[in-house]
Order: sequence, then C-alpha cells, then structure tokens
Amino acid sequence: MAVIDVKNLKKYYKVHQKEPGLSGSIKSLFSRKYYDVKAVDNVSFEIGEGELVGFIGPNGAGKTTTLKVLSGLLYPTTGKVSVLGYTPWDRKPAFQKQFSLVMGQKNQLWWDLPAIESFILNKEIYEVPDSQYKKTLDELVELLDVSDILKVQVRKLSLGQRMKMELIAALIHSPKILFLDEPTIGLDVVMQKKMRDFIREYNRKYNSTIILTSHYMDDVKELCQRIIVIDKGKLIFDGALDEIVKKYANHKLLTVVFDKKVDLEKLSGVGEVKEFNFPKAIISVPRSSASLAAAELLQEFPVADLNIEEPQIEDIIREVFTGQDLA
Amino acid sequence: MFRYFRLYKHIFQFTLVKNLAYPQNFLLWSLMDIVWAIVNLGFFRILLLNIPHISGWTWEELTIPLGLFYLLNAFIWGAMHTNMKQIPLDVNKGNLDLYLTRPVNSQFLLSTRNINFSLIPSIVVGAFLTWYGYSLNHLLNVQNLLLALLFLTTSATICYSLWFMSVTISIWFNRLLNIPEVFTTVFDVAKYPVDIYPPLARFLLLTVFPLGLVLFLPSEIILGRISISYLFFPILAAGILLFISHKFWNFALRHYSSASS
Repeated sequence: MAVIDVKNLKKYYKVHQKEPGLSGSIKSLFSRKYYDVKAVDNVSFEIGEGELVGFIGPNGAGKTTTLKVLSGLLYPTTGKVSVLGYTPWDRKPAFQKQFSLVMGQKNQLWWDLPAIESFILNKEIYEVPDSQYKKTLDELVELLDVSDILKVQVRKLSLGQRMKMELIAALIHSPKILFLDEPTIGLDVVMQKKMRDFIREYNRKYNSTIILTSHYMDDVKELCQRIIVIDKGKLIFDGALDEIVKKYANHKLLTVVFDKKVDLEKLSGVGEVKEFNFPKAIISVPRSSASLAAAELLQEFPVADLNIEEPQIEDIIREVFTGQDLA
Repeated sequence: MFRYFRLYKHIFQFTLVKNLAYPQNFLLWSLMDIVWAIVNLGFFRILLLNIPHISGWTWEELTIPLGLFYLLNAFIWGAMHTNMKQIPLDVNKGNLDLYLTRPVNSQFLLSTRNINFSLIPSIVVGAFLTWYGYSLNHLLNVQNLLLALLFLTTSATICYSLWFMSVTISIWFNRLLNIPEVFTTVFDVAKYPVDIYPPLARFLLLTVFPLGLVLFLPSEIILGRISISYLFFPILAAGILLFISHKFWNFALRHYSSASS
C-alpha cells in the first residue's frame, strides 16, 4: 500500500527578473518583470511502506522542493499529495507526529546545551510517553554509539557527532516516514559509511519509509533499491537502480589490455576510443554490437585481456543530466 | 493547554541555563537597562518639576502608567524582542522549516524560544514604581493590584499581537530584517497620554493600532478617573488582535517559499 502518493505535483515560484547593474536595479523599482520558475513540474509517484527511495538530481532539480511539499512546508501550485492519508500542507499534528525531516545543512539542536536537553524538548513536543522515550533513546544511542557524548554541549561536538545527535532528535518520536535531505553532506568518508549503515539498519529494523536525497552516489548505490531521478523539475526516471543502466546506457565499455603496440586509427574502427594508454584501452561500443566488437578485437588485435562492462552509474546519471549521449 | 505550559517550562529552563553561561552579557545588559530606566524616568520628573502636568497628568498620577510601562517594557524586550528579531532571519535563511514541521503551534514555538533575563532590573523598577504610584495615590488594595495584573496581561497581548503581525509581513518579502524594530519605535508613542496627540492619531491609537489601551486607559481606570466598565476595551482588543495575528500567520505561511539548501 502506498504511504506516499503524489499526483501531477507542480510547484512554481514567481521570481523577479532584473537587468544587470545599477540602472537595472532602479528600473526594477518601478516596473518589475516576473517569470515562473518551475521547481517541480508535473511529478507523480507512489512510495510503499518500508521502501528506501533515493531522490537524485543536480542542484536546483526540485528534490528538496518536493520533500518540502511532502512535509507540508510548501503549498503546491497544483497537484494532489497524500502522505499517510493526510494532505501535508494542512499541517495536522497527527500527521506531523509521524514523520521527520532531517536536513544535513540545518540543525535543530540547542547550540549551548547538551543534545540530551533537545531530545527532552522533542519528547514534549511530540508527546512521547516516558517509557517509549527511554526505550527509543537507548536503542538509538546504542545504534549510533554516542552514549559518551550525550551530555556534552552541542557546540563542542564534531560535525559527525552532531549529525548523529540530529538524527536521534529527529527519530525520538519513532516516525513512520523519514525525509533525509543530504544527511551525509560535509562528513568524512568513515562517518558517511557509518551514517549509511545506520540508515539501512533503521529502515530494516523499524520498516520505516525513507526518502533520501544526496549528491553522493555512494549513498544511493548502497542504500536504495529504487531511485527517482528529477531534473529541471521533471521526473525522468523512477525504478530500480540497475534499470537506469538498461534504459540509459546504450553503450557498453570494452576494457582491453594489449600484448603489443596497436594502431590507434585501426582501433577507432571498432568503436569510440575513450581512453588509450598502452597497454590499456577503453572503447565504447553500442550495446547491441558489444559481442561482435569483442570478437573483432580478439581476431584483429593482439589482445591479452578483455572485459565487457556496464558504464559507471555516476557516469550514466551525469550524462542523463547533461543530455549527452551515453557511453 | 497544559502541554504548552510544560513546553514553556522547558524552554524557560533552557534559556536560563544559556543566559547563565554568559554572565558578562547578562550584567552588561542589566546595567544598560538600569541606566536607560533612570534617564527615562528623570526626563518626566524634570519636565514635571517645571510644569504642573502633562495633558492633565501630574507626577503622582504619572507614576502609575510609567510603572506599568517599565513592566511592559521588560516583557517586550525580555520575552519578545529576541524572538521577534529572529523570525525575519529564519524566513530569509529558510530556518522556519524546522518549526513548521513540529506538531505544535508554530506561532507559539517561534514566539517563546528565547528569553532575555537581563531585563530583570526593568521588572524591579516597574514593580517599585507601580507600588510607589499606588501609595502616592492611596490606591494600595487587592482589587487595584489585580487590575494591574489584568491590564499587564491585556497590554502584553495587544503588543505581542501587533508586533507578531508586523513581523509576519517578512514572509512575503523575504528580506525585511529590520521589520521587528518598527514596532519598538512605534511603541514609544504609548509612553505618553493619548490626549497629547491630534484627534486622528488619537482615534487610531484607540482603535486600529490600540497602543492607547496599553498604559493610559488602564491607568485612568485604576485612578478612578473613568468607569471600571472601560476595562472591557483592552480585553476585547487583546482577544481580537491575538486571534487576527494567528489567522494572519497561517495565511502568510501559504506564501512561505523557504530557501534552497
């Protein structure tokens, strides 16, 4: 059953246009020209209970705007949205108690106090019963391994430690839905890995529905079975991660290691040479003729080793966004 | 309702701890506050040593609205100002997001999240002056003290609602960082008897922008210069304005555009 149902969601912003320079500023005082920015443009999708979905897209694609509509912060221009059966922007407390929005770049903890104080405040705000609060807190503290820093002032914590505390604050009311907007931003590689492990474990243990946006493909690759790709406000892909490879990667990559020197011009006859650094070459060929090209290479060239590979997911996504032909 | 008291109790404790963490800041503010109170009071005292009254208010009578003024001022600067000035900043930076997702009235959360305890001297000056005024005018009795408490509540509500509404406008304009100061500037007009203003201003101060109801009308009732039935006006104004400020806030949130992150 879908816990999040989005139909034809549009969110347009009116932005005023200003000519450059001082004269432009003065002119805009008297006559302002506005144009619509289509932050989200006719997006529809459904997310079922317990799914962990990655939202990806370049900066300004509309990911965060979509999350903000889903959490009731923004009113859509048009469209229908239902989250747990509620219309988010009605901001019903019964709905707000069931989700959490974590933004990697914003913090909710009280800066001058230990994080535990913020948890207590959240307990009151979300009306969490004492026994449940204690149980949840104990579990989260153990999962994130932070028992020794609970009573340290937030401003004295490292960024990674703070992010862990932010997560506890966001999860203390055991939300059914979790919107994670760039949860690993600014963290070092080790901490990123720990965060990912935690998110995966949390999703598995509590069967919570999670939408995650991230610029780090590793986050998405490791965590999400399903991805939704948004670009310029439009949904361009919704499906399993490996399906995007099938859909958009029209090419395969042949990685060849040669025994002897080969003629680059002759090699270009097989396919597009992406990289040539003797003895290794990477050649891109159309997906349908990959086997033929491999056979040709083996016959015509002194091949020591040959591999047929799918392009890297990062490359596919980047190229989908830049509108380039995929290779 | 009880839950909101509990929440406020926590916030109160947190901000107290925070204030105590920076005692120098606290002391400097307190000192500034005392100097300001003396200068302000001195102005009226010197004026009334030279003229017998201001629009019919003698020094003895004036001590009552001035006492209420300092108490109200402590509320405005101690409980409200730090919160009000933060709202346009939060709108501008998109930090309102965190408050709007909470299952608690966002207006309440935004209006109560900070307290400036260095305004305590203002409370002492105000309480002392009101007490002194009551003694001078032979008004010290339980009924009058309760009236003072009632009027402080209605006046604080009127000021808060007007202020919150003015700050709410920042949601449309995104960068009105000075808008919280509009109220503090305008509030100064409440310090003087309404009668000194021209008729149109007087009318506005008693109706649309009812700062005339926060100090002088209550003082006139306490002094017995007008009938006690007039206390209906500040109560009504406080109720209506609080209601409108709440509706206006919810309406404005439809236009909140957040900030990209």
